[in-house]
Amino acid sequence: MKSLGVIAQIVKTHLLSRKRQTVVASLGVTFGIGLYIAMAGFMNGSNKLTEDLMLSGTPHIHIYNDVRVDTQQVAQRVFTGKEQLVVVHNPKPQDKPKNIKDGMQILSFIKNDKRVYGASPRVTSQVLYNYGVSELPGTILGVDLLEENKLFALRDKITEGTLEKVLATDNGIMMGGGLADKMNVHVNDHVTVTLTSGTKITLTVCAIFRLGFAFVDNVQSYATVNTVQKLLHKDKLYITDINIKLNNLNDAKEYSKELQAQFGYTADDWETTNASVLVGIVLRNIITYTVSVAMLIVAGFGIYNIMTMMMYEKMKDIAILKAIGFDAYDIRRIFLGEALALGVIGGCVGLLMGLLLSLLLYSIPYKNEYLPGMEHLPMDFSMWYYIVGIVFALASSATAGWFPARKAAHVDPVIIIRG
Amino acid sequence: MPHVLHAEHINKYYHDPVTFQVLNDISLTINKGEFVSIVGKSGCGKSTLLYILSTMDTDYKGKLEINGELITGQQQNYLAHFRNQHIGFIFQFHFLLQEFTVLQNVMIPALKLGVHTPREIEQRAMEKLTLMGIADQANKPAKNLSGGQQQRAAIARALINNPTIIIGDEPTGNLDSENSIIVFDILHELTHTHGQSIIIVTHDSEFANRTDRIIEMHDGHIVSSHSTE
Repeated sequence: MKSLGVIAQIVKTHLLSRKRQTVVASLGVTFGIGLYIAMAGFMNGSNKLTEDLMLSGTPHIHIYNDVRVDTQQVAQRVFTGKEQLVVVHNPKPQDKPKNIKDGMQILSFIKNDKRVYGASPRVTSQVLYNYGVSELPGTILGVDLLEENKLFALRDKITEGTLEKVLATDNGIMMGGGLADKMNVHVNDHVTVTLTSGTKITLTVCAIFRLGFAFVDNVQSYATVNTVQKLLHKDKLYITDINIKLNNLNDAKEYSKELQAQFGYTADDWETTNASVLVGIVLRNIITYTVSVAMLIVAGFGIYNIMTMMMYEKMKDIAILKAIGFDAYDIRRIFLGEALALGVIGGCVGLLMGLLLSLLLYSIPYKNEYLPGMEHLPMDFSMWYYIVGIVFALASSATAGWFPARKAAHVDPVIIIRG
Repeated sequence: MPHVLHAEHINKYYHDPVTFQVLNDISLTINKGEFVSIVGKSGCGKSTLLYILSTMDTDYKGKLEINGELITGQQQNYLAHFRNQHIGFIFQFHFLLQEFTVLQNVMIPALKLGVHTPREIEQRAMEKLTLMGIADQANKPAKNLSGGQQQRAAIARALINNPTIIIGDEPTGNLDSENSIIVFDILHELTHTHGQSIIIVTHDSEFANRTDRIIEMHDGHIVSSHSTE
């Protein structure tokens, strides 16, 4: 490899003596990489926002008492002879209690597990919110508000009132923003709800929250477990659901199976609950990568064009170099070296451009009443995009340079020199 | 006298547009320190022969030996290294790399050979440029030089690796008589004091008459090969 020094010198001279071409060719890569980084960052930022939003509203594991029809009917168990055909038409579930038996013990058991970040009990009551003459159907969730705040950052979602006020007020509730808008109520207003049992009860709005999901904000209110237990005329141990957040998101699948096996109640992990959202994220990722690869390929073609042009312009130089002792490999190295240099220069500037574009997007204010806490466009500044960017810059320039370089290596010097 | 180049029964055909024999059974031997010119009318095949002798054209029948080494049948890449070491080229249109300085042009074949350090090579390149009388132009870009100066720089480049054979295709064809006399004198000195062999294709009969031997070609044959007095 004694000749690498002189090859590097030739590469440098060629690039420097054609500054404009060099700049134009590397600008192609710069734009490709820069736009890729900004776009991928923005796209993934939005994905993360969606994911965070989703995870902020859903527990990692949700335990509840699913009402199911027994798969084996009593009649089937009794008449087991081979000669008999037993059919039970249209079986109905038994009237079983909907709560989780010994829920509070299960809860404290779960809370002691190392993997668990927090677990919150829940009692749900279906209600009709009375609003003038019309009634709006909805639910009131009885939760351990402080634990729930730990799990879902409830406090951040409150747009009016405080969590403490709900805790301190008898029959206090925290109402969804959409619902409050519809009913035109504010903190300290009273609302009357009709329970499924028919009784009416007056509650005090102590806070208003917005999760960002219309299907929650338009129907749901929070109250303490005790309040809802009272509404349902149930005892202090009555809970219907347990929501769990884990320290590590990825333990959910396994742990949910464990819980299901241990307690016999249905335990859904977050992926099962949010399958459709996750599909959306995967699809957006596919779009991002398709567009990015397309942009980077276009940048590669830019290099290919310039390198091919350079090859034809330098035909005479190639012939001389071959005549004075450079072999085909040396010539190929020169052209590949030039293509790679363009890739490196363009790629590095592209990284910088990507960072600047990302910062620019990140600084654009963007507020939405459904997304409290969001101040500007989302952006993911992961190192990963920068690594992919520079690797692709090198790969595309090497590929783009390969064909002209091979062609240059095969130039017959005699034909060129003799004219 | 030991010979440095020996060619036997060289035949070459062009196939485009019709098959046509350019070289017909050429055999010749060049001795060490000999200054040979090949003359003949346009299209007689003298340039074609020169490019075969220079190892650049490998599409021929026959046998070529340089420095006792069989050249025929060798790979292109091997031949490139062989040229780098043993053959110096001077072309009609000087063919310097236009974007490089004169000094860089002269240094490149030696850097490629990689036997000496860049510092030594630079020193030797300056010596060759001084020999050619253009040391003051060393750091100018090649394209800024006059034709005669470029041709002398090209000769300096041909000499940098102390090649066994120097091959020139009309090296004075593009120069005025004053410059061609300078070039001739330099080449002449190389053969007589440094023992290098030179083969030149030329139209310039005055130039040819001053070389050691004239090989005359006609229609792909060598018609005469005689020493000048």
